[in-house]
Amino acid sequence: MATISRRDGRTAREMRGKELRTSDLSQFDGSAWYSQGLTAVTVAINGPTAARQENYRRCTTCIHVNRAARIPQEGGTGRLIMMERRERERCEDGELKQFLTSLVEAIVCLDRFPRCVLEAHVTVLMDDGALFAVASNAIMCALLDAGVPCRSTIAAVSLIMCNPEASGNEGEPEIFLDPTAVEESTDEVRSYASATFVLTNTGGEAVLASRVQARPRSSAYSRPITPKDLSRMFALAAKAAETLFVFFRNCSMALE
Amino acid sequence: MSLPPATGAVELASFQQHVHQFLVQNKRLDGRPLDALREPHILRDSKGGDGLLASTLYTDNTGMCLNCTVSGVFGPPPSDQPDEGRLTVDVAAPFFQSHSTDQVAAALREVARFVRSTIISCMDLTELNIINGEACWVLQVELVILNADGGLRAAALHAVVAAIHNMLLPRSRLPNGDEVESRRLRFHTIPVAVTIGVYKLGASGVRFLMDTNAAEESVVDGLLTVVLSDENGIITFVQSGSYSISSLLLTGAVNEFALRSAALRAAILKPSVAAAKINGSKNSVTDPHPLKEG
Repeated sequence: MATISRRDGRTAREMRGKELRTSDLSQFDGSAWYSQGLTAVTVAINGPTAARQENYRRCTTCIHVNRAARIPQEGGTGRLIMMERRERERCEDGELKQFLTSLVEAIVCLDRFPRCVLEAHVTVLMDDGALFAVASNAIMCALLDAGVPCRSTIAAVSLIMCNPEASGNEGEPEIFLDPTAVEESTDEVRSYASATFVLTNTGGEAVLASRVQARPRSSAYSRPITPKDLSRMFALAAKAAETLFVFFRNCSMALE
Repeated sequence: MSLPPATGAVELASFQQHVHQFLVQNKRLDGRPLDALREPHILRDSKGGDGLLASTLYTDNTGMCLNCTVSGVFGPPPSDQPDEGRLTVDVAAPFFQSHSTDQVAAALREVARFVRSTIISCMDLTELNIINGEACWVLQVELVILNADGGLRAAALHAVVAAIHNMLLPRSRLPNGDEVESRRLRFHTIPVAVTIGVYKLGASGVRFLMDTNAAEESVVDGLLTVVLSDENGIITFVQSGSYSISSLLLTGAVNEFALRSAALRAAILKPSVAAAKINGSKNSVTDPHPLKEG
């Protein structure tokens, strides 16, 4: 069996380099700039602030997702394809917005702020894979930086399932942590599914949010995702989340 | 994901309290047991014309109503995948009144992204290829939500699957004069989806509601959307909610839906009797099983 090698030299269980900066944007109540490898996301938090709205029992959340770089213009017959890809990118932004909205509503104590609005501006500076995990980690750090009361802290992990053999469904699938965009979307590492899991710091294998998607049928290595594969992904995500929690704790220590 | 329920003159908080009282007693508003699916009814219109390749109307017995039309045009293939065709999905909800149009628009975009990524996981886009790098079929799927009653992702996916499965790409001529042979689109696996609500009963554990409606989606603590293939492999799995759920419970919910996926798949692919009556005794080109003559 040939071992699948990753282009950037990482092993299957290795994550990309993580970097976190908080409180950079002074006009917001809290901000975080978080990157894993080349994927970088900036989140800025305003609020909770009083606002006129009809929900008088809990705070309303408002998440805006933007991209620093959109798909550039194109001429000729490629213009229709460019417009199609732009619309598809807007749909992906809508999905990321829904994902982050349900996440913020789950972890923030919204019932403490009736008739208020909590606003978050998420800017995707660069997308090189694992975007949902990086954006979730960034918004968690921004909420803590803003001092918004949260029930627990979360860590989000992205992974891909890879076919160990060149064809067929034999063999135990391999799970790679923290995929890049090339690993997620091409056949370079024979991936057939990508997943993002959000876990809380209470430990165990309880999952707060999940997103599993099989790769397109036209890829060469597609195979079914069984519930056993799902359980293996949960277990690996729980182990990887511990690494992220240690990283987040170490970031807040003062340099002596 | 969820669009808020239409409560009419009843305040939303009172309506939610009413649903809570039912759920505490293990009952649902429409009288279904907790593990029952709503049966989809799909009408197919095979008249075509104006570039339409397929048209389906998805309903169930509690008010979800979705119209799906598929158009086909020629176009250049994507530059990064020159041997594939193109598939676009648009979702519109013109009759939905809401004060937060931005949230509705984001939810509709998310449904469009969900449907497209699930379809391309089950159908080979290289079937839409005509000339490598030069010409391909561009399928344009338009979904109109006439009435939303929960389970929006699953209903939208079922409407598109019923429209595209066994759809005939007609015999056509390219602008340069080349003739394109007709062919039928095939799914290598038929996806079926369900939305499962997670209802937390205090400290005594959680309860799963199969195939939630809009009222239940506004009160449950979590939502799962599971898409299964023919061999009950997972194609898509989306979970969100207010609480963490154990992985054993999540895989248990997937296995519970796997027991019912075959019946749901048969209901989606069932040929439409009403459309057959409308078209007389002519065989419908979109029916997977041709109607018998006489």
